[in-house]
Order: sequence, then structure tokens, then C-alpha cells
Amino acid sequence: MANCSEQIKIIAMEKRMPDWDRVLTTARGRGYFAFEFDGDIIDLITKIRALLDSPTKCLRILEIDGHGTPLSCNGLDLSTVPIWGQQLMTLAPLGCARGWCEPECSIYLSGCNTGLSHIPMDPNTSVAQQLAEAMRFNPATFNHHITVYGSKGYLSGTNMNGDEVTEREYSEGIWPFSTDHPAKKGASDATGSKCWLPYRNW
Amino acid sequence: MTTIKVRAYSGTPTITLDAGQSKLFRDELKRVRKFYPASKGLPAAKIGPDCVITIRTGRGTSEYQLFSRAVLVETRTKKKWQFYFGLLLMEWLYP
Repeated sequence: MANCSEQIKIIAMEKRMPDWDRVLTTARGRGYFAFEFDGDIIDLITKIRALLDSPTKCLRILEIDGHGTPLSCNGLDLSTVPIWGQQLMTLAPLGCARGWCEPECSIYLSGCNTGLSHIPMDPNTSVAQQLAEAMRFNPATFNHHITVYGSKGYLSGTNMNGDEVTEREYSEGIWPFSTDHPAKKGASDATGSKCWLPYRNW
Repeated sequence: MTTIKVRAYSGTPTITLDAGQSKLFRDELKRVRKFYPASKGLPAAKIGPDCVITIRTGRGTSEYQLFSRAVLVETRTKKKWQFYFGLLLMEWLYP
């Protein structure tokens, strides 16, 4: 196995997020590289490649922080999933272990409901699940085990800070001015690692 | 002549409502705007918009964003309403 002594963790965050300043402040202390991300996957790949600039470096965790739905998370959506999968797999020729750490790496889609299906009758239609499918393990062409984590409810916090919380339903304001965001199928109230649904690419 | 277009926030898919769908949508929007008070601001949580609804009339264009299939936000004013008709819009967008 390759000598992957430097495992890189990245949080790529939509700039207008409410906890942008806090994430930037805490990232370094938690061993993360944090940068602004406006949904352009080519730009993201360029930044990741710049970080993987030595043969001992590999990507261990990628957290995409932004507004999400079962269909999307900060530029990633069902129509761009194939492009994202293809681009993320192009990390492979670079760095240690061909870009991705062994034995397993993680991608967190840190937006609301990103692990839940957008079609109530079909459990396999979340954007997280689709991304895992788009990066399918293949011993010959993509020999990396990647788990894509999607949230199972209305999310606040980040995996990086370990302060994530999901709510099954989400309400704002006080009646009669309130608006209710209804629960998706499979949603739950949770904290920490229980906020995430894992989708493996193998 | 009114044209109502619904497009996923990412751009695809996009649909144009037919005359019957347009009437249903406009009637419901009118009812909600008339009888329900609006609050202001985008949702505070990390909720992304499901789709964007553009209404073109002879008098101009207005745009709304739908969140969680059930909350409608007027893009220009950031006024928002509970809008369960969004469930149907999403069914039309993703049949």
C-alpha cells in the first residue's frame, strides 16, 4: 500500500451560508482546508489538485457545505451528477494512492435532506446516492472505496465541526406568519453521526 | 397572454404549464396572497430551492422560488407563503 502520510480534509462552502465565518475560523484547528465554493466542479477539482501536490498526500474527506434538497447540494444536482462523478474520479492519477486515501474516503453533502429520496415511492433517488453510483468502484478503472453521506433531515452544522443536527420537519416564524417545511420520507431528528445516511460506491 | 415556466433550480428539467395548469396555479397563488399573511426572508436552514417559477404577463415578469415543495418565496421581495400547491408543481416537473 502507498505511503499516504498526509491525509487531506477539505470543506468547500457556499459563501452566503450563515455559519461561513465560524467554519473558516474552526477549519484550521480541525485539520481542514476550507474554501469558498460556488458550485463549479471544475474550480473545485483545480483547488483539490493544488492541495494534492506531493506523492504522500491523498484526499480523505471532502465536505460540500451549502443549501441542499433531495435533488441538489451547492451546484451538485441530478443533472450534474455524472459530471461531478467523472471529475472527482479524475483525482485518481494524482498524488498518493492515486488521489484518494485508502482504505476508504468520505464525501459529505452538508445540505438539507441530501440523503433522502425526492420520489417518495423510490428510496434510491437522493443526490448522495446518485453521486455514489456515479463513482462506482471498479478494480480496473476506479479502485477506490468512497462513501457519500447525505443528510436525513433539515440540517444545521457541519460534519467538520461535529455539531450537525437534523430535524425531521422545519418551521419558521410564529403563526399566522409561520411557514412549515414538511418532512421527507425517511427523515428523522438526529445529532452527530446519526444525521447521515451512507451510500457506498462498492 | 400569461406564460408560466417552472424549472429545476439547476436549470433542467423545465416545463411550461398548459392553460389548465396555469389557471390552477394562478388561482392558488391569488388565494394564498389574498388570505395568508406573508413573512419575509429566505429559509434560515440549509434548504436549497427546488425550482424557480417565472410568470410572464403583458405587464411584466415575476419570479418565485419553491422550497421544500411547500414554501413559496417571491424572489424580488423575499416575501414567503405556505404553498402546498408546490407538491403538485414538483409532480409536474418530475413526472
